[in-house]
Amino acid sequence: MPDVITITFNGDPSSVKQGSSVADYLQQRDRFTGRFIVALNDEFVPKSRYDSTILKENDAFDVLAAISGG
Amino acid sequence: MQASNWQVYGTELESRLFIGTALYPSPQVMIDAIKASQSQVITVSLRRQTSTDAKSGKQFWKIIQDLDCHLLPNTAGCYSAEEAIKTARLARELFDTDWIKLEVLGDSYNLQPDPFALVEATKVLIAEGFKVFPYCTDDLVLCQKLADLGCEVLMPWGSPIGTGQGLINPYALETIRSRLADITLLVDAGIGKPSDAVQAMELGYDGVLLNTAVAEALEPAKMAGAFAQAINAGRLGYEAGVMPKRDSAKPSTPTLDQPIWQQT
Repeated sequence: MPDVITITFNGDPSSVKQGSSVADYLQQRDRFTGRFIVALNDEFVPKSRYDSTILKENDAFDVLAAISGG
Repeated sequence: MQASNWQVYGTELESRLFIGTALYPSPQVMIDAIKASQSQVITVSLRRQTSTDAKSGKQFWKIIQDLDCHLLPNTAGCYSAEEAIKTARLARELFDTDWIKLEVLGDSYNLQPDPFALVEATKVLIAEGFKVFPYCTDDLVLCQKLADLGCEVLMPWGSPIGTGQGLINPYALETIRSRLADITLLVDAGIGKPSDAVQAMELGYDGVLLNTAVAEALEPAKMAGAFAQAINAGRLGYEAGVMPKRDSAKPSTPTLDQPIWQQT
């Protein structure tokens, strides 16, 4: 089993240690402040599941926040 | 004099103007314009955020919290029902609201709604408990279909987004108003100047949603204030009951007892 898997972060390829959780990966990335949500493969991941949701190869990880809109 | 209050999905509102948060030259101009508009509902959106734009994202979040308006997230940029549905679900989590301005685009040039995908997405989202505000064309059959699916609010366009063309098909908008008497209707998109908003309100529409007309005005806050007054005036005029049009003139000054030298 490889030590590192490849996922996409906000659409770009990213390497992450095998067995990492959503929480682990957020810590690995730069700090996010303010209100944001995490979506994994377009599905919302609640904060209560950050530790228990383990990333898999080719997962699409998105951090989403509010922007202006018409 | 203030026009009557109204309701959308059980929420009572005074202002009949929904206003967007996009395209302003600066955050402060946006804040000033939204305050001048007296709007109680602002549209917002969601996008991927990296840490480099986290600071501006945090600032925007604080701004919209401080404005203390109802948030109406949109599904802007979605070209399929699937995309719009996924975006709506994520918007509900981020903004903690069931309200969704449902945009499913069918053409990247005129940004018109895809009516077929719109119906498909509406069906799914209503079943999931969303309060859907569909951005739709001025097609009566489409509007009827959306109402039949459970939309209590419909938002037909005046003209394509950002064009400022005003109401290019008032006949169609009037038809929708008269045929869907129990549905809350807002004209959304294409409004350019305050008189466009007056026209929409005089047709009996319950409100107006606009963004570009204020954001791209030379003085957005002043324009926002103008729209606030225009929408109120248009609604008051509608509520007051407009006089009937006539083909022949009817003098307003009494003709009885005119002085002798005026008589033929």
